[in-house]
Amino acid sequence: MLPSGARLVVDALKREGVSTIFGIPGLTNMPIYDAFLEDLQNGELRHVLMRHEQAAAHAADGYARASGKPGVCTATSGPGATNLVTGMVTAYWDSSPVVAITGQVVRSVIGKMAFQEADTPGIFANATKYVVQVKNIYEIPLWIKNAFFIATTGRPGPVVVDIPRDVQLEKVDDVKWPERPNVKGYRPFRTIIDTVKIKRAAEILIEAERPIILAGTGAVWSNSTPEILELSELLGIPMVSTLPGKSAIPHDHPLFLGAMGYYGRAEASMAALESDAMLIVGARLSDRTFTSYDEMVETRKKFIMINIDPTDSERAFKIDVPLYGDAKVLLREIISAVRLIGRKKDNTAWIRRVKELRDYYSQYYYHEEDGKLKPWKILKTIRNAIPRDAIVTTGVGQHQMWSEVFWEVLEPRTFLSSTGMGTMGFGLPAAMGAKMARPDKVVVDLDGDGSFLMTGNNLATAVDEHIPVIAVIFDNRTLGLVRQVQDLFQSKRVVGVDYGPSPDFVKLAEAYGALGFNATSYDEISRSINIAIKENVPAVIRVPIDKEELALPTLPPGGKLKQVIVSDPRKGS
Amino acid sequence: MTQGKVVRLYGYYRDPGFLERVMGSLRKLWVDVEWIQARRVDDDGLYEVLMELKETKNTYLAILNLSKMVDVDRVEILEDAKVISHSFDNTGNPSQSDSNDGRVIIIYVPVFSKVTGYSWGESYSKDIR
Repeated sequence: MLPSGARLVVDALKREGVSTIFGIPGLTNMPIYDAFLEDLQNGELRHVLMRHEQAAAHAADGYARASGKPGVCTATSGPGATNLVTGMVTAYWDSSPVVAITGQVVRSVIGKMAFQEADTPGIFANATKYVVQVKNIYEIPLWIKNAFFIATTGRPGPVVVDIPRDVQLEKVDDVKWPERPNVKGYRPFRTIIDTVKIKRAAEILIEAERPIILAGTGAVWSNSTPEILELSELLGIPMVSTLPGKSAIPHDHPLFLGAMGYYGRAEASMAALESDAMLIVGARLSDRTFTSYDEMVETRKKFIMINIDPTDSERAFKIDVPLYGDAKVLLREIISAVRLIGRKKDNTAWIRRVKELRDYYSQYYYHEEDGKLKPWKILKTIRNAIPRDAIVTTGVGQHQMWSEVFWEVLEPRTFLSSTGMGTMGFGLPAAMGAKMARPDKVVVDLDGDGSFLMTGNNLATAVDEHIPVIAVIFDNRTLGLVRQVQDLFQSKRVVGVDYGPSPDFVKLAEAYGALGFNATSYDEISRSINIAIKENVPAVIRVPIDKEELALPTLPPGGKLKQVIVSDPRKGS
Repeated sequence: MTQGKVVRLYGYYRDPGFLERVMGSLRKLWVDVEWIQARRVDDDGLYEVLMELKETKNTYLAILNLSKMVDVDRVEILEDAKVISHSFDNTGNPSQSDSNDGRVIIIYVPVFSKVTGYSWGESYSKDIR
């Protein structure tokens, strides 16, 4: 029997090492489902039937971030494809390699407002790293290969392959499998080892009085945690991170201060400001980390930047030593140069100052309040209840900011969050994807009530397909982060944010067939997690949070890092 | 000298979405286009796009972004370009008219002496005098 286009899609995916596909079938991607039936039956592929395509993309994204390999999702044409958009743009903003295979209406009706037709190439052109519409069956093997090549090289990112249904149904008698990708007009960024620049970077770090390392997403994707720690320890350089960069640095390292930025740890932001030399590893200088470029420039510090994307050093302010390429390789070069030149200074005074900052701001963080569960202590309780290598995901909102400040990442690639796009609803499906990638790990979704409900229907998938993730819902019955801005900075004009009593999260979980817990004490949180891990089934743990609880530190809208607010301004000084 | 930056882009055309994405890169950074001319260069799908971009604080970033857009081979700034316009009538003969009544076609020709090119994170400079 001659292979169909759909069969070629499946075989091409398997050739790329794909074993799991998250998706929902419909008329135009149905031939692919038909083609992989036997692959599912013989265990060569696993399909996870999500309840919304956005969640399919988030799950593929979570899979990619947890495993370091591309995640794959599929959707039908029209609404199936458009539902993917939020998930794909989320992956794009966080540099995550996701490949989506979308069905398209048959070629004869494309562009004619056919049933369930959407202009997938047009829609995804600016929401992904690349989108390609396959014109005939002969293009399938090459373009699936190209999609993985584009998604995983250079700055990683999502790619859509849109395939008309009739192309999937075509037959071919001579399949040519490409040995290598061939994308005209695309080249992965090269790693450029410029020995003069490497030496200069080493000298700056050696000679600095107050050096600091800022780790970003690129540190995670390049697996350069060992090199960052080695350099930090070699010269006694304190480390901070971006929010996604949290996933790169073990937080129990004595030289790590936490994530800096808008809702970051004040001591991390202050140390970043006070430093006289900053080595930026794989961060793109987003407005979330450096809320004011002027503020950074005014410090007159020297900047060394390692980035896979050379254009990132041009977007914000002058970088003294830009280094382009793989962070792991370049850090090794810097370490060698440092060893060759030798350490000349003792950073004891600077490390003492950093410790002072940490101690000073600690007084604002760890407060107890009678009758209320405090986010920092909830997170500490969860941390103590799950293994060191457990993976956590987050939704978006106050709980995410609390996690930014208080969640202790102990192993690389164990903190997954929508940081660039800030997509509510990311947490649960991303946790499911992470669990599929790393079934041996405990996976916990730290979520908010508002965020969870945006994709919470996928709990049905977790139950049906036995994907035992634990969702801890910080339930304050409000869109807390918006409420907080209205309360603090918009004259207390709180509007459009507060929820009523619906739903009951315990009953909701049980309705889906998951375990449901209402944990009203730290002990109950701990106990619920232990039961969920032991039972090895999906679980929802609802934790009540006071609506008035703030996500601190914060800044006034448009504020500089120096303007950090660390205590509740409603309570006076 | 022109008011804007004259840019020459080489990229591979797969479908008209190629030009759409080039324009999208400019739109996202609010960089306006004064004029644009594009043509197929070879049978391999290579296109040459010539355009004059309004000079703003984002123009350079837009050019860098274009230089790392999938399908784009390279982007060149035609340094200190002076743009000369040539007018032709509907028979293909030169015309003295520069009206916009549809009777003449006006072609912009950049005159330049140096090129600064960007391609997937690498840059080059060519003096072509």
